[in-house]
Amino acid sequence: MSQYAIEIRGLVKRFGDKTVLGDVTFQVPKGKTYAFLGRNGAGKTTTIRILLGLLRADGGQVSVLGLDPARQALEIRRRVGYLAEDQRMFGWMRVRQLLDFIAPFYPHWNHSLAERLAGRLELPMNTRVRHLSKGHTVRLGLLLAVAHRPELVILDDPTLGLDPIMRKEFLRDVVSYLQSIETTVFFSSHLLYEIEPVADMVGILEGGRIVLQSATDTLREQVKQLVLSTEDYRRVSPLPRELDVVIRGQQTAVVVADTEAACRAASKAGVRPTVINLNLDEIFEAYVTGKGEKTLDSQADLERVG
Amino acid sequence: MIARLIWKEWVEQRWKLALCCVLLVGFSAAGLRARVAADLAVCVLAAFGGCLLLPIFVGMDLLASERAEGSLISLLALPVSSHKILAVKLLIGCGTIVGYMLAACTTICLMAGGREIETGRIISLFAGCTGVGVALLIWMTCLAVRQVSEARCAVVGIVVLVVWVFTMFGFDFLGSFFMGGWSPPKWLPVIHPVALLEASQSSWHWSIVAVGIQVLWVVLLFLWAASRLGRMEGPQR
Repeated sequence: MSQYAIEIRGLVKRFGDKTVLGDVTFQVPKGKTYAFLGRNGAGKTTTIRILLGLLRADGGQVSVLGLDPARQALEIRRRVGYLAEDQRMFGWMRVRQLLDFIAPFYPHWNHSLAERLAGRLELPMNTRVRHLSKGHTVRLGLLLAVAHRPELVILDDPTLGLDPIMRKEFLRDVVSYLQSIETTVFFSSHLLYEIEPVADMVGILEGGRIVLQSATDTLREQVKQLVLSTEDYRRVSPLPRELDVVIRGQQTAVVVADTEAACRAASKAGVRPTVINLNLDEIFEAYVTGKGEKTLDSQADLERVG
Repeated sequence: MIARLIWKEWVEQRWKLALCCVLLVGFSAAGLRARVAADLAVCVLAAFGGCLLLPIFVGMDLLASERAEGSLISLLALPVSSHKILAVKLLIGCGTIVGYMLAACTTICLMAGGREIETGRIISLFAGCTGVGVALLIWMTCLAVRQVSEARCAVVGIVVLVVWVFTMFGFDFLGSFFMGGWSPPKWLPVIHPVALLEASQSSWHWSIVAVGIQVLWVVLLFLWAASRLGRMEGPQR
């Protein structure tokens, strides 16, 4: 049996002439929380819909819990919990009616768990779905995604539209709960700072490809910013595995994907750069918007960078 | 599972059954009571309204409203095949048509059966019209399976009707005026459901052939539409 809950190799998806996903490859180990990062329109939702068999891939191999979404979509949907981005449900139903409607579709639906979660998430059971607040709608979607005790939960930007406090609560309560019962969580988002505390692994989707897949701790360990004088930088440039370079007058900030190798290369030239730790947000930015040298001259630019 | 889908569709669509019954029964009763026109005229207007106009009203939001509301993705993401989802939607839509046509037919038979027209003729007219209405709903829903608004679905329904009318009369017209008296094959009208109207007034052999062809059409359209419904193509936001 595979150690991966999700395995994707060389996934390709086109909409007409536009290639949305070109050769996407990544794996999600069982029991881990995987943050699937990418900008809006990067293809995160498309990938998720392919995983659930809602879209047909144009190429590559996809396996979810050892099943092929193209042929075994229904079995996958029985075993996977899914919370869609901006999920809308049947507005005329009351919350209790919706639970009663959904339950028969899942052979392992756990009524007592659903009741418990509804209480814990403070869901008003007799309110119509259309009258729920955004926060309650997300919580309801989450309840529906986990009450059948899925082996894998796919969360597609679930906190979109929630205020910062609700987002924090969501992550603290929900992802922690899922992690505590060792459910694999595949969490797509573009709000990186909120994923950082909970993600075991990170994959960054950019330009239809996975540009990075790594354990979160390893990533933080390897990707750092080196600050050195512009003159020194000119001497050692290019540093190994540069991701982003910002020249601010006399100072240059370089984000590198292998800090150890970059520091070694710099010290060979007698340069001792200052090493600054980055958060996931800054790492993501370096991967998706970096890959070039930028010279910032104006005061506004300098203030913006920091 | 299917029972829950049927329950959902029924709750969503039942108001249409009530409204169509009120419209059609009200029109028939008022027309037959006032006697401003011949019973046949009232009967034909009610039957044709019920089979050509109201199915478009019934079918235009079977799928499109859910797509526009955003709940279709929630429905499709459930572990149930798109064939079952579409079948249940069509079942409730067809049930609505059968329901209001039955109500109108019963009203007309009770009020005017045997008065100017025989009851048997009224029933056979409504039976044929119900078949046409059901076929129109299925054609329209299947062909408009990816449409995102009720208005577009209604346009698809109107286009279907126009095509049917054209194959019924248009070829005759074109043949006699522009193509030197060329006449279309006699079987041509059978390819669309208006043939059911003729079938309801003719021999049982002809009825079986016409109904058989329509069933085949409906099955093919259903399979095609269900596979399209299950595979959402294009970035749907």
